[in-house]
Amino acid sequence: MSRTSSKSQPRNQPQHSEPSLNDYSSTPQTQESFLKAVHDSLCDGIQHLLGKSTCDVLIESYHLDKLTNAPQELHDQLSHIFGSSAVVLERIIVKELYNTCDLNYADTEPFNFNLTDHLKVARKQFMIKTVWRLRENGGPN
Amino acid sequence: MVDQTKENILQRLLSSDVKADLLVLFHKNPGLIDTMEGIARRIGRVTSAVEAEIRDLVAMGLLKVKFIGAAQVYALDKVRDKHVLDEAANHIKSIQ
Repeated sequence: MSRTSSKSQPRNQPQHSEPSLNDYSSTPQTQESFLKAVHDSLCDGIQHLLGKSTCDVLIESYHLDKLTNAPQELHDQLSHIFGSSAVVLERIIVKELYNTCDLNYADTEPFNFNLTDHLKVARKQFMIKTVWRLRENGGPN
Repeated sequence: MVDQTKENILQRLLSSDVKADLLVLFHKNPGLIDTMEGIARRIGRVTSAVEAEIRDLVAMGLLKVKFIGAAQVYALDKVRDKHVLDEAANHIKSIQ
């Protein structure tokens, strides 16, 4: 039996196995909830790993909370502060995000799977889950 | 001038995924007291994978070791932990 995944399919072919993401998922509210989840996970991840004082410094002095919609900039800023150790913190933030969004986190991604890739996958899964929930409840409102 | 000691603390805290998982475990559960095997199980690892990292956290003073009967158990040293994390925060502030 073959399993289809978005990674293995050519880009120009429609992905019939996935729910459509063009209905409720692109609403500002859904985008906003995802960004809020990223924000909360960023703060919680830093706090759980390095404590509240470090989290406060990173928010006040580096405004990391403003970079929730810019994963590459977030990665660059974390790399500037923590050097190569930034990936360790990023993994904790990503784990928090998956936990917050009630998504399954697999700790088996390739080494070059970076923060941007993780956030892309999380956003996609979050949108699918949101569409699924809304459909089960008969649509938004 | 960058304070090498504080920089080293930060690098040491973030030296591996296992150590990060251990720190998150103890910070989320500051009252946790458990054996090395128990701690490893809690973060989904085998004992051999956490041994060196737990020993390093003990060497840094973040974890303290106690004996309960014959069992060697580990707990977070909350005072030392706060001190180390405050040092790390001050270092981060200084490199801006």
